[in-house]
Amino acid sequence: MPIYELGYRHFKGEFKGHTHRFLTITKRGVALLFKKRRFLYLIILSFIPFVVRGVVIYIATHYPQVRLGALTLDPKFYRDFLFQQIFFVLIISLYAGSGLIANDIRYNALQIYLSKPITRFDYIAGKFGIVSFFILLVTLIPGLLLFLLRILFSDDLSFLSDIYFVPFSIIGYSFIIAVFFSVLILALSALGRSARFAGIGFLAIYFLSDVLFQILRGMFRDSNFALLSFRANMSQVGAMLFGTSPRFSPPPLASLAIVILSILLFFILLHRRIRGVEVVK
Amino acid sequence: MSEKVVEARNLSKWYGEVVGINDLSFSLSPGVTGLLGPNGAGKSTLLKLIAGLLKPSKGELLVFGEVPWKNHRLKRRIGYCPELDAFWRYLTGFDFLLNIARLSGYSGEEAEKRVLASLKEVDLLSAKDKRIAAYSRGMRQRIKIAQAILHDPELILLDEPLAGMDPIGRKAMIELIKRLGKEGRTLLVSSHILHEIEAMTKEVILIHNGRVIAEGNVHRIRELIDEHPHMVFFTCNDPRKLASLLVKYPDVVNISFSEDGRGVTIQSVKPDEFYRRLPDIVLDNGIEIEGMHSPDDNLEAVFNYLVK
Repeated sequence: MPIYELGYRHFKGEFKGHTHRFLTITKRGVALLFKKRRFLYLIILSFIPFVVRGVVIYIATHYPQVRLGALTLDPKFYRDFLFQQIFFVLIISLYAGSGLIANDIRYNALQIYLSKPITRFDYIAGKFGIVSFFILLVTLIPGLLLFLLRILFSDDLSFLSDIYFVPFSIIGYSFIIAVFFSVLILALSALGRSARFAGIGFLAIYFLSDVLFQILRGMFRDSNFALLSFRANMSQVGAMLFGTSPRFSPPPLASLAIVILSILLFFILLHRRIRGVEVVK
Repeated sequence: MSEKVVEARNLSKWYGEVVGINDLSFSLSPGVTGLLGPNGAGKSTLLKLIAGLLKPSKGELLVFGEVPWKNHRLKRRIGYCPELDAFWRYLTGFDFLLNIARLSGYSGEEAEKRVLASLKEVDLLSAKDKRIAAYSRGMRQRIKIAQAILHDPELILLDEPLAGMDPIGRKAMIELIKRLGKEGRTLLVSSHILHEIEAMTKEVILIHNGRVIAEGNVHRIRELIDEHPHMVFFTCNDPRKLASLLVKYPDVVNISFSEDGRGVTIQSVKPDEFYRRLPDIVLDNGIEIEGMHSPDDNLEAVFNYLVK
């Protein structure tokens, strides 16, 4: 039996809790993306619609005589803003998310992550935090700021009684957008070693589902096929949350159910793909 | 009575129809244990099972009395160094380790302190601000070991840790492994080169085709192995001269030349003596060695011999 020269003494200090582990992954990812100039330009660009709508709010509140076309400062104004922001959400998800897991698989970094005291869920939560942070940055933050601008620019706050629920709608819609697009891009990123493949798959799923809907609608003159389109479902969910009239005939609740079901399916796919060791059978 | 850090009973792991580990039973106590076997023997699979990265297909595996699979708390006590490069190459060595320290639960100053200490352990302090992409293979190997020991683990699993290291780095790493073992930690170090393992420890587990074929003190196994010739392939400026110098020794039992005439394969039944005298012979006779390796099929042959 060996005699050891020095008895082993394990670290007796205090370890940070579990939340800290997933935040470590998120913080590092966010910091790395902020260092990329092209990505910063993209974020700045995505604030242009906010600036435009901010100006619209200013004009509408200070110069009520000026006609702004169909634009009125009702819940639809905020819903349309968030729906339009999906264009930037797509690009940001592509840029920030397509390589997040694919590159870890490519560099075998998953086995390093998962050999540390973190769970697969921590890893996914950390990566999810990166994409959703940027999505919320261009949806939730400007959305709430627009509402705040409306309050700041108005002398009379009586309008609040009509649209008091809008901040909650902005929060709800922004989170649905963030969760849906983050989980979708991460699931595709986890499918292989190529960020490019994940990006192409991401755009294909989003746009082809809409193309399919348009074709079927054209053929059968029935907009119930909107349930097949992620884009249309997002529009329906927005209409439901902001209490505006939906664009298509299916009930918005059905669209919400499809979005939630898709999130669950993408999450299951994502969770199944995260393995410390890639087993090729 | 010694404490059992790892205990495996009838452990099996298969990937579809491919068997990685087959009905394996063994135990590990504190100190350094060598895990020896040719490529494809199941060494990496076994280390990944112990590290909790793979789920056993059958049998029981306990680490510190707990099941490692899906047990993230247990991973705080385990350090794992994979065989393949596994890191974000765009980071500097320091940043890479800092992330690892934070993932391991250390915060602020303590994390930085641990990073610097582990960099010092593997002699990479001077290269801490270089990107990992610019590291040599030996440096990458050392940073992998640094991430495995950074969080002060009690059980350290090293998969081929000396691969790609230069002789000086190799010597320093062997010393580090020995020291960690003497501190009372448990180290399981895999290799397909017997001499590497012998330099670190006397305790070995021999694994072949997913099965343990021998376990215990290396000297008992060594006698058997010594009867089987050890093969070394050289490429040098004058293979014929090198062969004529080595053939004089009784332990050299076979010499063959490569087809292009630039290489020579030597078989020795006393590899220790062979390696001891080799530097002097080369230096005294002005032979320039361009490459030297002990083919893996050499160990495969030894194992086949042992299995017989």
